[in-house]
Amino acid sequence: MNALLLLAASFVRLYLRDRLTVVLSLALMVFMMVLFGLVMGEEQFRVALPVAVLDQAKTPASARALAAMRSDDLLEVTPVANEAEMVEQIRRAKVIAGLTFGATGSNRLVTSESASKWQRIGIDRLQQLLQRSQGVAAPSPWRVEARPIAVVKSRYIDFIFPGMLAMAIMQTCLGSGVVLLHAKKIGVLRRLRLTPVSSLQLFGGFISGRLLVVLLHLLALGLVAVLGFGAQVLSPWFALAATVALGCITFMALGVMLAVIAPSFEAGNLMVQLLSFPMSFLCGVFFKIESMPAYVAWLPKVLPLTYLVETMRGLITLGAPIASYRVDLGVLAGWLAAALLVAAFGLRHLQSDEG
Amino acid sequence: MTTNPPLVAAPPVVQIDALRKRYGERWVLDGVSFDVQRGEIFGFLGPNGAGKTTTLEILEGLRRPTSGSVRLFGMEVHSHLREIRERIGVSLQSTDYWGLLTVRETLQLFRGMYKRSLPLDELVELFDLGACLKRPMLELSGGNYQRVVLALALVNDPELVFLDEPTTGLDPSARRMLWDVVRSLRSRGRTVILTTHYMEEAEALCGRVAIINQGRIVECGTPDELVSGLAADVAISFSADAPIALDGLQQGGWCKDVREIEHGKYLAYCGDLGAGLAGLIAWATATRTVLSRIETRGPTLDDVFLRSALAHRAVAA
Repeated sequence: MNALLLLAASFVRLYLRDRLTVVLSLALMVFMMVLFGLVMGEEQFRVALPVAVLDQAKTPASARALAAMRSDDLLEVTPVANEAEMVEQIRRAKVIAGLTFGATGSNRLVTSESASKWQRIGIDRLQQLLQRSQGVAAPSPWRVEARPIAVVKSRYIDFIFPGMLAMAIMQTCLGSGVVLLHAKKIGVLRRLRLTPVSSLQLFGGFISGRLLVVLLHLLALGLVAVLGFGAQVLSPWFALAATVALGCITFMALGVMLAVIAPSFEAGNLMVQLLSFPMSFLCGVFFKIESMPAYVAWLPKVLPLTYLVETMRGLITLGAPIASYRVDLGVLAGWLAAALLVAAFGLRHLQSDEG
Repeated sequence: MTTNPPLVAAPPVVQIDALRKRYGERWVLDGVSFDVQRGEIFGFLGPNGAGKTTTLEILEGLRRPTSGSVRLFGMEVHSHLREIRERIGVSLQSTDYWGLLTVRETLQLFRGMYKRSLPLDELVELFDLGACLKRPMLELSGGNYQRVVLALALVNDPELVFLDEPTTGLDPSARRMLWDVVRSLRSRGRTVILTTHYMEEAEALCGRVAIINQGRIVECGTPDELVSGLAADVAISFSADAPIALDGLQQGGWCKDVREIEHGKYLAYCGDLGAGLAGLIAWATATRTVLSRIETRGPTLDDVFLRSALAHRAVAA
């Protein structure tokens, strides 16, 4: 235990003493958050006006209205199964309004009392379109209900903050592979292996030290986002901690996997860059994945950072229950298992000659 | 009547028997055997690529042998690895430590790896590290750095110490200081296995040396025994203005052995200085060879090493 703590403390010291790296790594992330936060302003970046639709009528009139909505450049139809789902979508700001074609002909347009200007513009556009689909002369059959649904704020800082946290986890943990490769390159890892300390303790010390470094990063980012920009953390802490822990372990396993399969320190460094750079831009950290061109839209779906970003964003910004993200967390766990498998195979290959 | 228990000789600290190691199709160790007794300083010498480091890595448990037996303190290395590592100290060839940790932090880190360790104050005093204790490792001079490396090898007060080229790159005064440390280990009853490229270092420190070449032990004994094995009282080195036939040179019988040690530079071992010089000059006159830079000296371990290395180079050629 003593050895593990000493090793963990050494890795934290090594990180903190490399002041330029500390300043640059933190400053870069804070700078990006500040820059995007200021430039993008209060309103979340949107390119479409999504509307939840509950079609209980299934009449020619409702079909005509839906066809008109789908042909609109800005409106997007999001079918929902029931009223509760519709309200939840409005609350999460996934849609600007909910449209119900009632089975008894009672049609409703539901929106939040606190709808933003952008949302109100969208609702006006929707009403006009629906009226046109029924005939210009026809009286409006639409009853607009403005309900007291507390829509979660959709400021850009709330969008980017969880993404930045997830990116910090990804970069710091993948970077652990480089730290490991450096220790191997200079020979100190081999020297430590010549002590009676087990590989488990050695590795445990390394992981613990690097986890502390990640926590320092997250703390710094959190302070800037919460104190500087009023970002909100709506999630219970244990759910957030569990997600952060899974994210850290997954990306650290990926970092170790790269360290094991890389033929040299230099190659490992490049491999980490090769993996982390595209993930930073493709996995929804800065922009919504839905706004990507179709030919690259498949890529985020296979990258692990997407699932960490989605979960962190859901927890922090929407205060959603962690169970809602079991699929995302499952995908992360899958990546973790695959990385451990490859790392174990690589280690066995490397150590086949070693004691 | 009482009977005394039978006297049992302590087993050697290191026992290697018929050790073989293969990398791919190449045998880097081919039947290496030797023992090292408690309290010995044992020199393990050989040219680059001879198998020294591989042998040490197998002894330290970093590599597995292809075949053969390797025992430390009477225990098979790989089945008692942790127990053995508590009792050994290692200074690896060309290892860097984390430059941003201070000397104190580095020593404390390694002290924490062992169940039993020397007090920090004792290590600091033994290696005279007081002045640099708070300095980062990357700011140390070569001599100070090497002292810390040696201190790290001794943090657990080991019974057996492996020193792999510990004085390479050091200035003469730093080297002498490290020699004193190694001698102090012997006086404390510790066993040391030392590899070095400096023959004068092996002669000054080692009670016995083994020379390995192409994976085989080619010489083993005390430095005096090995030098005596040359059966020569004097070594004459000289340069010639043109390539010479070594067989023709030896035909006169004035030297026992002659070898080309560098291009155009030769070393002849003779039984008698006067007869040797006379024979060399007579041969040069007869063959109209211009000699230069003629030097004479008594044979040393350097000559034993050169003979072993050159003999195998000749076989390989």
